[in-house]
Amino acid sequence: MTQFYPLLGPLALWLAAWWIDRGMPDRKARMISLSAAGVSLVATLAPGLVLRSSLLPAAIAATGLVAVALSPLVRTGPGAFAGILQVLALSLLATLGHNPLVVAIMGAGTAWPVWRELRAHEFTRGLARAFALYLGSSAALMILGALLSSQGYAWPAVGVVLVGLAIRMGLVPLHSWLPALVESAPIGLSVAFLAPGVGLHLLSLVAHGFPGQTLGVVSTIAVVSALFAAAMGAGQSSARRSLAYLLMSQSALLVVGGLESAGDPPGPWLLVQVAIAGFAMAIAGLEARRGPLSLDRPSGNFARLPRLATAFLVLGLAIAGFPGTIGYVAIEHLTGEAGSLSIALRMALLAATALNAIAVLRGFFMLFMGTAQHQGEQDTTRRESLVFSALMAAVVLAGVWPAITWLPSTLSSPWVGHPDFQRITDRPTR
Amino acid sequence: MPFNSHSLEVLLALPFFTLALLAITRWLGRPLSERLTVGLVGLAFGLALVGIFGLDHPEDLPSVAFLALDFVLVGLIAAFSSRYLHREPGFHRFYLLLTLLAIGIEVVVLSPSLDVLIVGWELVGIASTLLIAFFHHRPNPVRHAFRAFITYRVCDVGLISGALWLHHVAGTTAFIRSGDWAGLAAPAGTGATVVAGLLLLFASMGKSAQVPFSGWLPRAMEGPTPSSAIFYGALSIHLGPFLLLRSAPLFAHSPLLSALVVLVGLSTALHATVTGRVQSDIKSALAYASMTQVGLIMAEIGLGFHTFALVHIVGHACLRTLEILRSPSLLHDHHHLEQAMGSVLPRTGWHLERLVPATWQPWLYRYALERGYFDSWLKDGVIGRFVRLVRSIDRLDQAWIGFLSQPPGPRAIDEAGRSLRGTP
Repeated sequence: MTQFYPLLGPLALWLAAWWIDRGMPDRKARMISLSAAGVSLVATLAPGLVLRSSLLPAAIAATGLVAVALSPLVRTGPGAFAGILQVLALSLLATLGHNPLVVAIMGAGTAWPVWRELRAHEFTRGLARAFALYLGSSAALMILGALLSSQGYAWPAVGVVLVGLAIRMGLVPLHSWLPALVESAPIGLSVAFLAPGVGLHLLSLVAHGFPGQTLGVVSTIAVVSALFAAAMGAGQSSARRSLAYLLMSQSALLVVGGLESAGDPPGPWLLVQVAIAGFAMAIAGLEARRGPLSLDRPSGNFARLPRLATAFLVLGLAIAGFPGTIGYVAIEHLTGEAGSLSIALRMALLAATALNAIAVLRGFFMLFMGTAQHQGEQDTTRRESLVFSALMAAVVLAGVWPAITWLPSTLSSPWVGHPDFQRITDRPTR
Repeated sequence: MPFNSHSLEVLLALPFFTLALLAITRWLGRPLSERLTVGLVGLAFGLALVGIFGLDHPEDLPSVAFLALDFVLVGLIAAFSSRYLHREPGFHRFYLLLTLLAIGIEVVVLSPSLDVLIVGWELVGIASTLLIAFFHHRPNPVRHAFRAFITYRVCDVGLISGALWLHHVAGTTAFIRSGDWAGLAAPAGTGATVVAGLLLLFASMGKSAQVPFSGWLPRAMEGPTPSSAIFYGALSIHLGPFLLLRSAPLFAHSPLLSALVVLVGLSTALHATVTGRVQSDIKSALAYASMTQVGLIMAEIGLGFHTFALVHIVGHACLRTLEILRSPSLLHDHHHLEQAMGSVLPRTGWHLERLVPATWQPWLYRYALERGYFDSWLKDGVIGRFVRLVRSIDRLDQAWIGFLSQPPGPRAIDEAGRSLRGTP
């Protein structure tokens, strides 16, 4: 009986989505979504209910909870809430599976609620066509790869799965759907769809069988993607497109993280993904208060929105790998000596994180500072404050904790060459 | 051991505790009173200053000099600002960022390896950026803060890449003790040393506003005067020379690198002294004066006069902090003097201007007004091109998705094709 416990989360999400789909006011839809997302998070974390040692399901559930809790009702209707819950349910189911074919089918299924939401609105109907072309191809390739793998055709399976994954994860040059989606769809839905779920889990299942050379090629493509997206994000004039490229860059970094750990990405990377959800939702919250956001000139009043601005900055710095946040630990994992990346790729990763930091600070300065004018916008609500407080506490404490444990001992360690010298404290590596 | 554990507890825990308290109370919307804020910051760094005497081996000269400067100046600035920023809306933000700066400097100075130094280096960078944008209701401080951050971040890539490179070629970035100084070990092979040295020099140039990355420094003076004094007169601006002192063994192995450091330093000093002479506001003039001295310090380090450079750093930091803090009241005094004399005060510096041939003077004047053309070159030639390239690629991307989003049919393809070609 206990083997069915992990299904509680997806079941609660699916039932809630079905209920919302029957029609109800926006506010009630958000309340039900919030409850279902909370149940799914508890189900992935509760002792005794966790069948897999990976934190990936918990990260997906936490991302979903953040997306639902911070989705503004201005741009997110009941249909979008139902879509978020369905995407989460399918992603969670996919991460519970061990059969590549089941995972690939579930993964393909996550695109359906997003496509349905895009089709539902006149101004995104055209995009739904492009989305279907890209994600339909990705789904077909992943299922075909899983089938080939089950038939014993290892090499063709590897190639086909990789192309499918490259589309799903938005790697260059198969990425064009991703910025368009983030620009037009409700941000909560985009965040849930881009949560580190299916693609990475499928990657972890098939990556065990990959020869090292293949992994090297994929890592290189992912690093190039991260750098390309970071450069694109730093130069955008629209906040949504800048966010889209930031998400794309982080998605590529996550692929590298997954490949480096030869399985599901390690905890720090998963927490960074939850921080990204919070960061994206801070933009959604600001957009709901102020309308379309431009990055061309400073146009915000920090005094009006100090908490939203602080949350944006702290979560953004965490994404950009700033010291004292979990992002630093995550980047450390990629660029450290223990990793298998070449020195050139590690330097490219550093350049990508530097550009991401520039994009984050540009967003902070242009959206939250530079003018005394305001539109009467209010700072965070109690619900938003609670979620942002929890997120920032998690991101900072998880980033500072390693420093608390190693920094004093590292600083008090002997200088090399000193008579008391016993060991070279030569960590961490960046 | 260079530091006993109790000293470190005082040195590290109190400032961290103060920072956490200031941040949490501010986030909760219940900031501490001004008096309590100043008292806490002063107490934390006062006790930290006492903690220096508990260091077991205080003979590492740069560490002790920078730590003492850090704690004394942060304490003084905290006391000075309690009146200067009294009832300013950003009072608590200022003290929060001041504490962050002091912690960053502390980590940089106490770090036993380049890896740990990076942590403090980046903390100083973000504190500096946010303080430049302190007066956030005006667009210019915000733009200037962003400009400074871009410079910091780009040059930080040099520092972190330098650490990666040293791990790759030497296996360590630990600072090795040799007499009164600690520094990096030079990797085997001249090529590897030169690469590491170039990356670290690049990092130093950004942090210390050396040419061609000098444009952000006068603009950084948009922040409150006390923060300008401690960042760009005393602590942050001297982190570049500090890094070079830590990297001195690398430069000692390569005459080419040393010559490059001297060249960068002297070029900056020359550029800053010429440009500083045409500045019409006192803080910009002081920024260029600061840049001149830091350029000279870099040249001293390149020439191997390390102790002299350290003395120069300490002396310059103290003098420049005093000058910047004095500058607002000095303007007031000048106005009084001019009113009393009934005329404009006589100009200074004629003796230098007489040394410059008359034919050069217009050219130099133009050069100084344009700030050496470095700013426009970086803004239009580098950043502008980058942004234009990125936006062109993005337009192509959008056109491609627009093409795919069209319903199938000859007309749709034709429209999308025109869109791709950029025709209306």
